[in-house]
Amino acid sequence: MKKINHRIISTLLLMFFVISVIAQSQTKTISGKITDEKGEPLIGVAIIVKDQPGLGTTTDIDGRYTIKAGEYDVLVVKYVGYKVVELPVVKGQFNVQLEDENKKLDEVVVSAAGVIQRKATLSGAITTVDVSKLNVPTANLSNALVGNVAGIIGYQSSGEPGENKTEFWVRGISTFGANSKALVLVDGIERSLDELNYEDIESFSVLKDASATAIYGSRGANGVILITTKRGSAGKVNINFKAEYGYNTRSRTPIYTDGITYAEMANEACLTRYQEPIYSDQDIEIIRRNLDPDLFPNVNWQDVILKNGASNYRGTLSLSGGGSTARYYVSGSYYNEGGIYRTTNVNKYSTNVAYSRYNYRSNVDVNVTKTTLLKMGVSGYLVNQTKPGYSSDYIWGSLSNLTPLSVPRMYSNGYIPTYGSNDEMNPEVQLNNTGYKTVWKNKAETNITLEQNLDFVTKGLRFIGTFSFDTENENTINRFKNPELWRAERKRDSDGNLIMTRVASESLMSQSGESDGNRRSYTEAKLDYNTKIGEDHRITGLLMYYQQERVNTVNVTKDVRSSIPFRNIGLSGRATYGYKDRYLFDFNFGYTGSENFEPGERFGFFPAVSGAWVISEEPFVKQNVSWLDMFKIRYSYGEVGNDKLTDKDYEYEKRFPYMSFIDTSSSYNWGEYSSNYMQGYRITTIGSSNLTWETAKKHDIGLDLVLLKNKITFTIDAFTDHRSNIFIQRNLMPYSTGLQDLRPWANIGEMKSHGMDGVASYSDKIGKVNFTLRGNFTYATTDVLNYDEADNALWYQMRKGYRWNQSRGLVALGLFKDQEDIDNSPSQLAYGTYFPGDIKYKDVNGDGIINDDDIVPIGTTTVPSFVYGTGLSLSWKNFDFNILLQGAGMVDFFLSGNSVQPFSGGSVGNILEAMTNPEDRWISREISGTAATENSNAILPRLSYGSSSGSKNNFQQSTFWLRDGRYLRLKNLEFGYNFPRTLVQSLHATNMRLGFIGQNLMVFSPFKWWDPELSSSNGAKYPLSKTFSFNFTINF
Amino acid sequence: MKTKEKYVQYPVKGLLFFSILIFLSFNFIGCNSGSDDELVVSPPDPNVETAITNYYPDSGGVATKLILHGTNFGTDTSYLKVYVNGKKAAIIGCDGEAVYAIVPSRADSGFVKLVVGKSPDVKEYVYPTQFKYFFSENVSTVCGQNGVTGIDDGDVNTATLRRPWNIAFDQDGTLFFIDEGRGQSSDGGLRKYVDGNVETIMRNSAGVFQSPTALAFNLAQDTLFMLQTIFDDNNMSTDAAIAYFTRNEGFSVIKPYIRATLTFKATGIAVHPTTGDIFFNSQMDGYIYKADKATMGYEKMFQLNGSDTELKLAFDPQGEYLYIIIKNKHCIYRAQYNKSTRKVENPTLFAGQWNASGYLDGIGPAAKFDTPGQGTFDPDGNLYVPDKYNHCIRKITPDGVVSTFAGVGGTSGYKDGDPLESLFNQPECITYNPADDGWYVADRENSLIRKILVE
Repeated sequence: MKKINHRIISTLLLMFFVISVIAQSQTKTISGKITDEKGEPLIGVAIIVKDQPGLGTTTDIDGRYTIKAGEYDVLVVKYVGYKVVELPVVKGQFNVQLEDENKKLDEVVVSAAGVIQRKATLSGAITTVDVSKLNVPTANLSNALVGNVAGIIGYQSSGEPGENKTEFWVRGISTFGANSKALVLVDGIERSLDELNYEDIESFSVLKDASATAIYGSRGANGVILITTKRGSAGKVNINFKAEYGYNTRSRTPIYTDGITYAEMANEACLTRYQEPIYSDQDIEIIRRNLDPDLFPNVNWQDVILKNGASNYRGTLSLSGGGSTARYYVSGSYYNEGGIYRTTNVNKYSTNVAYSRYNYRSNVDVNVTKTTLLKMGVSGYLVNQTKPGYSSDYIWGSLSNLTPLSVPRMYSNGYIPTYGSNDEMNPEVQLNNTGYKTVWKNKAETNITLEQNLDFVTKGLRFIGTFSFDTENENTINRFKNPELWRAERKRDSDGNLIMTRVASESLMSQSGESDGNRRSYTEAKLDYNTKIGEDHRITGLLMYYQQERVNTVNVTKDVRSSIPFRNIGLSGRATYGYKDRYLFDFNFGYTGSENFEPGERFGFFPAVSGAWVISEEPFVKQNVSWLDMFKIRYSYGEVGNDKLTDKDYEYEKRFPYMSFIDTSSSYNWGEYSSNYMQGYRITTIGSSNLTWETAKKHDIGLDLVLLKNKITFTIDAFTDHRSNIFIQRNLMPYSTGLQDLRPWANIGEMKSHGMDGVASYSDKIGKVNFTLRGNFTYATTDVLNYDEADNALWYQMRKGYRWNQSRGLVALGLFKDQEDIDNSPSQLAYGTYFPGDIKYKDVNGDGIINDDDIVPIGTTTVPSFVYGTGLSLSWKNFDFNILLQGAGMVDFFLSGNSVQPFSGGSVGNILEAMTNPEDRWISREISGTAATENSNAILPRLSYGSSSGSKNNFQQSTFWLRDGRYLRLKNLEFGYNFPRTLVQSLHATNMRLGFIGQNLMVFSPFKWWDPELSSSNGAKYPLSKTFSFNFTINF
Repeated sequence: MKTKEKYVQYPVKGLLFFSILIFLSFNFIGCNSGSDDELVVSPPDPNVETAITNYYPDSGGVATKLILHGTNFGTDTSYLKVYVNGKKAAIIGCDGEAVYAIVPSRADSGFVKLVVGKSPDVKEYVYPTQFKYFFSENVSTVCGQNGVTGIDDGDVNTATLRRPWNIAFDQDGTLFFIDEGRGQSSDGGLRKYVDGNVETIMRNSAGVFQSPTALAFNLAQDTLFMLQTIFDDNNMSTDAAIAYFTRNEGFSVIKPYIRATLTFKATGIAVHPTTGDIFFNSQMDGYIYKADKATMGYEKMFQLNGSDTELKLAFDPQGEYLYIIIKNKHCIYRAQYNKSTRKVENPTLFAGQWNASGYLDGIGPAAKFDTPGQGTFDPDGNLYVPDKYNHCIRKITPDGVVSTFAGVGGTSGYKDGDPLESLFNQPECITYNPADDGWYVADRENSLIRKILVE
């Protein structure tokens, strides 16, 4: 299969290549010399013949070139950093001195509706990103955003190939309603970010405030990410090839202790609770001497099923070029990433996780007439994924649950061992003997855009119409089996034989499949107006109409709602006025419609205004403060509506909440029992009339600063986002209403979020070293103002008044010192019996007893409130270097689970190596013989086993188990070497580069047991990968 | 003895990306040697004198883990033998200085002996202190999977039982049992357990065999009788109140023995230990009958306090009394066997009270049962009955002293081990097997056959 795919792609690409290099007829041989301003020869300057794609050459080491061209052709001379020069052949002048393009071009920004704006004239909050900084050696672009893009908060919770994506939000989570995710638009169309080929990206911007997103109406309520893809430009053919090889290893993985330490701690846990020890003296000696590999095996399961690492590969080839009437950009790429599981070779199929993806893209622009431009884009991807029969959460769960002594890898009698099922199942069996899954995803995206210049109507007016059609499918085939699995009792019969219990019976391989798919069409019509009246008045206008339809093509059930297309419709517009580029005003609106509201209530109007004052353009500043290149203050206010009750496409049951739905209920019997009955019907979904938009009122105030001839740039924004009318399904309907199980929807939630984000950079040159130092941060926090909850006398137990997803628990005051300490403290018997060395809690409400009423908000949230990144780029001669440090703060999480709360699961659950130091736990003097070990400040309380005394008390969610999740990581370290021009030219190439990227090389954090970014309570997850990647790029 | 795992790098895949450029890449393959559990064993060094020091623990019961210390044992356990009081103990492992052995059953107290070497070069070492052996009583599981109802045949680890109902032992140690299931399509069956395997002899079908209740062998053990309840004309189409199998036919062909009318519910059968007379009952009319082989009919004996009595019958080993366990009236009667008339007569209350359920140990009528089931006798004349809804086994001496033999009165569950801590769930039948001196229990709701062994 793979081979066939390779061949198809190869053939197609070869065809493009051949067509584009067919030489054209010529009449004249021309030669000349290109020099810079000082008269030094320039090497590698591109000379092309205008409108003859593929025809071109480059200058040699002496700056000389020779080219054949027709008598009336025009030569175009292009070199990076110099102005483009056109040389008509008829003029006979072929030696050129190129002019340095020393004046930096105005930085431009792709803003809403794909309009390219000068950054200086923006008044909304938009972050643009240098695309080259998003270069990640793994599959998914989302992993590059946090720390690189101001305004984005997120975290990556898995390193499994195919699942290693970052969940992110623009300016944090600003609603507890269903839909808090940003809208991602690729070439103006709602598409996924993750499967995008990084090399295809031309620009990347994030629209953050209401003014910037207003024209997207409700779809843009949570911020918008705008991506445009590369297009061809007139000139000679550009061929760009890049090959990458990377090696992924595990970053921090929990380390579990060995069998003997486990057994001794288990015994201590029992003895200290006055119970019989689990392991007898003989057992301990058998473990230490490894005399019984069946019952006391001492297995390190991580060593058994995990490799040191796995490889990934990526190859990308793109071709672009064209003439003045038509231009193209064509690319193809292949990516492959393997899993770090150590599978055996017993199967004819691979059970390791693996992810591979083919991407293709073709963007073609055709000038149909002098004023009409037709743009076509076709792109898509194909993903192949394999997984073992059991999910990675079960595999990693069993790694944390199966102790070194639980079961051996194989019983000596040939039986296959397991401890339990699912996350207690032998991980080696889960990986190798339970079959496999294959996932196949594909997506085809097509879009066509017509741009008609309407200068003949009025100057500066354009019409742009776009239609797109995307279709995607996902198929999963599960081939599942299960061997017969056994567990031996921890004793032998009188003949020394194992006493076996069958845990699972054999099931032969069986197949099942799942699929999912949808198609989406999108139509957009825009009128764009841009003019300058006199020298001082710049006016732009935009009117846009769009409609979108998405239909599920698979999983259509008998419920009609599953097949009715999901539709959006909207009319939006923008008007801007700029006076001398000094005073800027924008007005935006979105008038959007939603299917979720009653007829007559379906449309909402959401306006936004913004203004900016470019102080640096004021004459007195301009004249007196020469080091100030730009100083701008901005303000925007806008309203945005949200109509989505769920962010899951498949949850069609939540559509049309204003309608009631009737379904069958219990039946009614009469006469003789069970002989006569009538089917009952009732309203099972109650319609909520008067449901309306969730609205956001957003304020943003910002400052842009550019100093010292563009050496220093600085941008900072502060924002608030006040959401009201958030949709909530009511939980607290009184029984008297008869609705308490129907849970109607209502607009009752209210929440406020606020925060800041900013970027700063400093670029300069010291000697021959160019460098850029840059940094960015995003801070966002929330405050729930109203929630569907009853008033509570314990005000601190309400959601209202606290952050959304606020962590809550008891406040631990350390460990009880002695019985006297217990006697003098409030009773904690609500959580069972307890002894000295158990956790002491704070009586928050002062009622003399500790119970659930004392649970208070503690710490922050599991999603960071603060993320930041700082980086440095250096270039010296042919070398370049780039480093990015990324961090997160104001984040914490609770430890819980069998492997982090020792012996809380009895015989299930490993002990972390980091917990085995006796100094870290409270050990009673009866065991240690000295009172010195009764350390009431230890990080572990007095041990307990299973549900023995103290365990319920100690394993309550409390500050004792709360851990700070802040971290700082060396996210990217990149070296590059550009081969010397002479060598490059000898290969007829324009550029050759060898690079190294290290990703995730180091993590610094107060929490050491696993990577805190995983946001895992026990670390039992596929860890984030540490990647060493080499790449080679060549351009022709 | 863990060997280091090796990783070998192979240049394996040459990936042809595009036809223009060939991109060669290297793939790391983690190569698992897979031999990290292999132990290399060696015999004791012949040039060095083996010495013993001590062993522990110094006391324990069957299957105690025993560790023997000393030097130069070698690590090859085939060179070693351990005896406790002369009985051979299984050796699990040895690391040269410690032998790990399992105390065999019924070892009794005595010296621990280590034998080193292979014949003829064998040396014996006896530890100076005696091992004190505690005999133990034990409840264990014979076959079935706890809590799994099923009809699968197979070895002890795979076979599943439905609801074991009645057990009979053959002279050669084969255990025949009935899996409950009334009617023609309820998967009831006659099954047997032999040599660690469960086999189904016959399932309920449209023929003679449709609703089994009890099993008994004749004196010669060449015929196995099986009772049926004929209760429901929707499900039943047989008139064989007692059917039989013969050894000559390998217990695989069923034939009617006693024919009866519809709604003749035979629930109990007993074969006199000397004369071989067969007695059985009908729950419907409450009478006890004596079978008459010649006519395929029966003769009325007597009725106990009216109709609708579900009886289970057993003769004491001498054949003096027929013990009548009245399941739905929670008590036990006994009736004299008249050797001259070869009839049973004069039923009197032996233990428990008529229609008074409960759980109480005591003498005769002072004791209480809750739905006692098919009982059995040991050679000393003690009667054992499963006390179904008390989830335990009761023992009744010939003098009528009732005590609890196994299980915990009133607590259902599944637990092997010490008989008075073990748990059963609605035991239905107990049968004594003289071959291994054990009691076998049909543990109905656990879908198991259990064994009680007194060492």
